[in-house]
Amino acid sequence: MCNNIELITISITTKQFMKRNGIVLLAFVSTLFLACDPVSESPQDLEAPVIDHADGHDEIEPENGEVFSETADHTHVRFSVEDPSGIGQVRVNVHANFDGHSHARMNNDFVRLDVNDIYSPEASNPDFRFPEGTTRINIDGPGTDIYWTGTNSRLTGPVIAGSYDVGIEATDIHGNQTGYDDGSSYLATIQIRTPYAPSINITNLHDDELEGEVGMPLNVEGSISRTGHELSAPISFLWIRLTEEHDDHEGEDDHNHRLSEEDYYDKMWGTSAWLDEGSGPDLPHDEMLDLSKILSGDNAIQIPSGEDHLDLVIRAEDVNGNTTEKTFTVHIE
Amino acid sequence: MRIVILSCFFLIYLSLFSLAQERSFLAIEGTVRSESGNGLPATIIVHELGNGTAADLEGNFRIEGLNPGNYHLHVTHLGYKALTKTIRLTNENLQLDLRLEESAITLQSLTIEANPFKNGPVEQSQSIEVVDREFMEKNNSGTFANALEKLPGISTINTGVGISKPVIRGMSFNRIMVNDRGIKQEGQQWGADHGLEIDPFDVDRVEVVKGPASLIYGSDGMSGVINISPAPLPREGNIQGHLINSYRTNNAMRSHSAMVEGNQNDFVFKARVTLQDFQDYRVPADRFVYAGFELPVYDYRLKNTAGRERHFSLMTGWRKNWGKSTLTVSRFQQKAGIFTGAVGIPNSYNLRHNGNYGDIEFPRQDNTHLKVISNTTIQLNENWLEIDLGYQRNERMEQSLPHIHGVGPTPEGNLALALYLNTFTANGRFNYHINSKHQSIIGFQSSLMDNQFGGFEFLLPAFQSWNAGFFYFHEYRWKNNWIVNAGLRLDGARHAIQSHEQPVYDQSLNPTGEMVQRNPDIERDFANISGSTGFSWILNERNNFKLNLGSSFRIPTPIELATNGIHHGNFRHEIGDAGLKSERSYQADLNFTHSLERLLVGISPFMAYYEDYIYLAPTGRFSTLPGASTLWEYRQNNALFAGAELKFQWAPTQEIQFSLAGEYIYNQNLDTRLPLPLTPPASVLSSIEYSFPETFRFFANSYFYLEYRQVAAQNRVDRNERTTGGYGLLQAGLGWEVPIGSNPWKFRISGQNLLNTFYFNHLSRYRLLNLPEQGRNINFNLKIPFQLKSN
Repeated sequence: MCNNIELITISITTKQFMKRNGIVLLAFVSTLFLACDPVSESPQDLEAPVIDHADGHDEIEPENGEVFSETADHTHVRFSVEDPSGIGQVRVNVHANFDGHSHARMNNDFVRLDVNDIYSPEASNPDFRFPEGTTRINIDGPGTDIYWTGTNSRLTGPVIAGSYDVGIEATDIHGNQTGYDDGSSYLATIQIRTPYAPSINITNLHDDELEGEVGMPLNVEGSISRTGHELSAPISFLWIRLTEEHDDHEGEDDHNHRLSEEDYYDKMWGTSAWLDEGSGPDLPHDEMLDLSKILSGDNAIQIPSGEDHLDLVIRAEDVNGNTTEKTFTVHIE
Repeated sequence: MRIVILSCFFLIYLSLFSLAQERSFLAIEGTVRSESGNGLPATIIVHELGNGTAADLEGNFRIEGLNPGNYHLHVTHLGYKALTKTIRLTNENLQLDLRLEESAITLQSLTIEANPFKNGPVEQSQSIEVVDREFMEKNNSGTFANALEKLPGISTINTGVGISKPVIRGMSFNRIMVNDRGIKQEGQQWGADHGLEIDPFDVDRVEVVKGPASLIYGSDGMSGVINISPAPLPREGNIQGHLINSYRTNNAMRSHSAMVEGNQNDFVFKARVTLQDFQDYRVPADRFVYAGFELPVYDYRLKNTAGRERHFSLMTGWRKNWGKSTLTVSRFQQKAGIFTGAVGIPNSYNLRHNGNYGDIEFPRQDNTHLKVISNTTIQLNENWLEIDLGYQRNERMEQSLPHIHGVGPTPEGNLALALYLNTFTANGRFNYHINSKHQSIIGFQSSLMDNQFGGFEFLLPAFQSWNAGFFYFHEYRWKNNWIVNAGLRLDGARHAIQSHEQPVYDQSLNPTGEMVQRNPDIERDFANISGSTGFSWILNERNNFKLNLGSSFRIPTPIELATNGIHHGNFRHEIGDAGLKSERSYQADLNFTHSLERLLVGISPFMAYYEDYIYLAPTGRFSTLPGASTLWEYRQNNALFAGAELKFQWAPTQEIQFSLAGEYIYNQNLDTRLPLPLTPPASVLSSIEYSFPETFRFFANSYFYLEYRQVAAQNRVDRNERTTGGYGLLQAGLGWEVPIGSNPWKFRISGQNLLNTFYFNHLSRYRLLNLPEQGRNINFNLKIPFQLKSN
């Protein structure tokens, strides 16, 4: 509050002023600095809560890059939130990330996983409730896990396979909130695979890696196929990229990379339901695609020089929008 | 309804002409001389009639065809202080001997017209900055608001490069107003990413009044007013124009503006067309960090920040000895992309470029602003009645892909938010010159607004607003060097806001058929009293001291009363409060100017206390709407603003001019005891300009300038607002004229951010994404004037 306003009275005559221009000017300037001497802002808590891993665990779960296999039905949700003033609310949010840039809606029974769990002192579900004034919560129980299939599923239909963003945000009792801009909110991208989404298999792996030679075409053997599951559907889109090695964990500067630096190979076939510019020449088949045939001739992948390891990223989509993405490391001789 | 109101306007407009009277013709004649007695070929304009003449080389002039009455003469000549002279013509010609004071300070050669009493810059009690077309061209930066940034106390809130809005003394949105030809521009100015819809080329004069301005301008004139006024009309018998072409390297911005204006037998006209296209702009970074992820900026260009603008304006009118009347129709049209990562969490795939940097994809804004403005000045006996009528239609279309907003395909397609605002305005002022010591103004202002909306998102409901205000303002010349003014105003307003129900979507993004009410019907009435008083004390010809005390008000906007939706970009779910009261301010402004022939020092400290200041406060609760983060509510409490501007100009020789402009703003929300958000950091702009002597035949009026802006860090921030580091920017410019025929071509080259400095702008929306500002930019500009007919 500006409670001591010091107005400087200028009580000299014009005549005096003419002689003392400088002094008055100085006095005037000082009003700039003295006109208002506000009470110093009382120290306030402007710190957002801190989101970290749960007790007894090394990482927040789900982790960034975590892949849930065809047999998985849920993800654990494990984290802690701490704020010395008292935690206001916490939100765990899951939403589709495969929806790159389109306005598609699949006209079928498949459902995207969409979660908005709000943890608060007033939450109706006791698993999401904590006492008012709590300064630390530790979430590590089965009640907060997120199921997408089976009896505990939160969905009314089969989940759309693909990548999802999981966000954890928190506020304190003053309204300080974590943010994505400074990384104080948690964000992870996970892959949900299903038995009905396209299957990607590479058969010529050595120690889990493909082997390539600089200047030579990369030999990839294997297939992308529709599975035998009753919900499986014809394959409609294929996207293959060769990129700099993706670092799943802490990169330089402690930042994850949402996109690799440079694509050495980038080709699409068919049409994606999700990606705005996701289309290419027709797929040779919609049930089974032989990778060695697809990646031959003009479409062969030439191994660039100057790299030890690169990532081969294969993304396949069926007509229902179920997406499978797999990344294979290419070891370069 | 629109047709009925337009018809009424037309009838009022016609009836005004019957008031005009043709009477005996008188003349003003005389000489304009310098203090040393040399004749000056100055320009003399009769303010009320918008016409005038140029004195001959000996300084002799004559203006004929005048009725008896009170007039203001504006006398200007380059290198001399502008002079405003109030005269009274009775029944015989008037002889004048006018003296102009020399001044090497460029801006002193401009007259000020924002002052309601139309007298000179020292007589009025408020702090006013004035710039002309020359300044706008020299500081062309693609938008109107950005061109004003060099004035002390003015900053801008930007969304990329094509969208910007002005800030006066740390206040923006609905706390300042922009008047174009006397009509308040209404274009959803409550939104941070809603730019000001003004063609940057169609601005001839700008006057920025700092401090409370509700007395003359009504609600929203809390912190200042930007008045855009037309240039003097061409002289009788002339038809002239110009072509302006410019290219900016950073985003390949091409601007072309063509203008033609003329005066035939007192029929005046002016037409302008502006085309402006720009590509994605470059930043000095190839990556940015968001949500702990490092994201790429391909080719140093921010995807989808391209834009396209098409504007036109057409003015016609009459200029007679009984006054003048003009009708202006203008349309601003802009299609501007918003950085792809700015809506929703940036995603790897959608930051990829397709290689075409000129594409404007989603999200984007399609904005148009149509204005029909009539300005009439009519002589009533010896005094003048000014009537300004306006119709505006603002269309704002925010196009975005539905899934980003958590909804499926909608009947509206990609139209996320559409707002259609129609505004009718009628203002009148009667300037009554009582005698040489007293003059007064009686005025009224009224407006009717109608807002409708569309799109699959919801933010602002449909509403109608009525506003009317009456004011009386009096100026008293107590002594020759003491001018005192005071005024009072009464206002009434009504908002009628309609309730809105929004569909609910399920997990597959399909509508469930259920509806949820976002806001109820709201009807609110407001009444306000405001006033101001002040004085100007002309201590001597070098020193001028001013004090202005004022109380301004602002009625809560429909967005503050009724919004209930997501503000994408900051992910906030914002909720209005139907019970908000009017906001009121009490302000004191001081101004001291010390001016010599080659030196100008100006200091303007100010302090304001805001009662029931309306602000958004975080609730600490999360929204359940898809795509939203936390809930923020409109609340009100008292706030304090203080600060100062400093201006220093020194011309040690005829060729060299140094200048320094500084500003500082302090504010505090007295409820939270925290600073208010989006407070501009302190900054100092220093420059040196060299005007080349006239030694080369083919390079006339050449100049070169170098500027350095130092901006301090902003560490005083509101809750959940991040601090921003300080930075320094180097700018330079060069200009010259090449005499081709009778109209010299003007060449200008200027560069902004010459050192390609990586910096964040505290007031930029992209600051939230940790995106740096535009990198190095070189601007090439060519103006080709032409004369189709001369007298």
